[in-house]
Amino acid sequence: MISKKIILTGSFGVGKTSLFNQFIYNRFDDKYLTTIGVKVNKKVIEIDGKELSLLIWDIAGEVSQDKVPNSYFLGASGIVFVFDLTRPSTYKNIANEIKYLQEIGDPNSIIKVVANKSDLVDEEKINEVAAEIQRPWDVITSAKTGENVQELFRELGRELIDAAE
Amino acid sequence: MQQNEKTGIRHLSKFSQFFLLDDRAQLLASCDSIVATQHLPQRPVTDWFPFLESIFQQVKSLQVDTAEIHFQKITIPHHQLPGIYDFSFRRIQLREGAFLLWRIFDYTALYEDLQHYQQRRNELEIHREMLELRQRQMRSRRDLNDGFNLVLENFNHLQIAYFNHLRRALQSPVNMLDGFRPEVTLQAANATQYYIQHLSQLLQHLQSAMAEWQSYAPATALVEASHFSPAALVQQLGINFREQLGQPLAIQFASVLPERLQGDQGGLWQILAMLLYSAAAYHPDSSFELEIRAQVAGEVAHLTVIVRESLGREQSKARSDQDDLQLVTRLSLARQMVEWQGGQIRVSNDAKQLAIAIELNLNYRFA
Ligand SMILES: Nc1nc2c(ncn2[C@@H]2O[C@H](COP(=O)(O)OP(=O)(O)OP(=O)(O)O)[C@@H](O)[C@H]2O)c(=O)[nH]1
Ligand SMILES: [Mg+2]
Repeated sequence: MISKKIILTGSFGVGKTSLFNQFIYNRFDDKYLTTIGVKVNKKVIEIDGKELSLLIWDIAGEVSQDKVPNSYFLGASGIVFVFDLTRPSTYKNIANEIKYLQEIGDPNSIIKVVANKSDLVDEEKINEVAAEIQRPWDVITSAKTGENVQELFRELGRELIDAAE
Repeated sequence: MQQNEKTGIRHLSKFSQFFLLDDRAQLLASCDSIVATQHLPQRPVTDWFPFLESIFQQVKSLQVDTAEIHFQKITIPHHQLPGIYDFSFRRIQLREGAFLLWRIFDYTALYEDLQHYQQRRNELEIHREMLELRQRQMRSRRDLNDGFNLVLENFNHLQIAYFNHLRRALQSPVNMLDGFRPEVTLQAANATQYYIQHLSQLLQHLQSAMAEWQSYAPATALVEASHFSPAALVQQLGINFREQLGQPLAIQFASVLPERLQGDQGGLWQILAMLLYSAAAYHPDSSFELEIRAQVAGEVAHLTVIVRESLGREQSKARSDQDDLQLVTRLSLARQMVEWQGGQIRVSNDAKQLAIAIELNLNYRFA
């Protein structure tokens, strides 16, 4: 079986752990409990009849990515950068953060930008964020309602398999 | 410190464990101090341990002379490793060949305390952001007050919960933490501005307390046994204390002290220094005393060290949050470090609930 390491990163409180829990256990909690260091777990999914084991590293959020210990990025095939649609501080420097991730990560790693907490914002707010953000997001999710959560990881998994072949 | 007979690998008992692996991730040896390995399935370790599965390719590429890889603060949900650990990997050469040495260090108590800081820092930071956002949108005076009260309520609630946690965690007499001011009362005029300012300050303090906290963790993973004289160690500490703080430190030695002990001398030094320097911050007019005695039982010496401070925390002096946090950080660290060494720490007050005595009990082998 192929197995791939995926790292969830971004500022604190944006919903990384919530996405991790929604994807792995199908559950959501309104209460915020910050992650210390890194939490690792896996989920095996099937894509086009092939089994893929996704090893997910849910790390403690940092406002700036260069604060994340370098060793956490070791061997990561996928990097998911999550931001919070309701908090400008979590995306205002996004161009630099992504640039840093490209440098620190494996040159072949796939980076996905995720706009989370879609359930808290309306159409108008989404357009407003889209207009001011320096880099467009790849997918918009809600860890609360589950919107696009499985899709995010499946799509990433598919790209990882394609890249491996 | 113990030495595994089969491999000669040294480890700190109870708070660390090593696993010797081959390049197919088969387990060859371990010391079973945290996880009992005989119950584990006879399959590659990567099968039951997702963390290892995710980085095994990288670990395998390590050479005997390449630097160790270190991972901090790792949690594996629903696993037989229930705490928060640091991991290190390196390739070592044994007679039978070159193998992978994976070591785990249990820092659960320390990291749980750190998590409380981080939780509080993050919640406050998010509150501040929300407040700033709302402030821009808020029009009327009433809106402003409502918003402010909401945040203040949260803030006080947070503070109280946090200090209660610390009291329990440190099991310290109440007066030691009395300098803490859990309630914040503010004037309504310009309150939001003041509040944001106060928050920013507090956040900065939290940030530096966390940095101090973290600076201790990796060092303690490197403990190695050495030989030392307890009397000489304490004497040197007294000299440093006098030189650095300009205050005398009375030292009481028991009439008989073991000449040489074997153990983590650096760790003991750090613990005592941390306790003394925090005690020195309590009150400008305090005097300090350090007492050391030993009880011998077979091959082991039970060492007791007591740090005494005469006046307790000064109540009148306005203390900053920074001092408070630093004090708590140091005590909590000392507690964790003493635990690592298999010892105990106890804090008590005199009858008038003023002076403070901190007693340490640690066991060492004779050199
Ligand atoms: N409404 C809503 N709330 C969310 C969503 N995702 C996360 N939250 C809430 O946001 C808060 C933070 O979520 P976490 O998943 O803990 O955030 P994190 O990114 O893991 O934070 P750190 O571990 O501190 O880095 C929690 O109170 C969650 O319940 C979402 O999609 N919608
Ligand atoms: Mg988290």
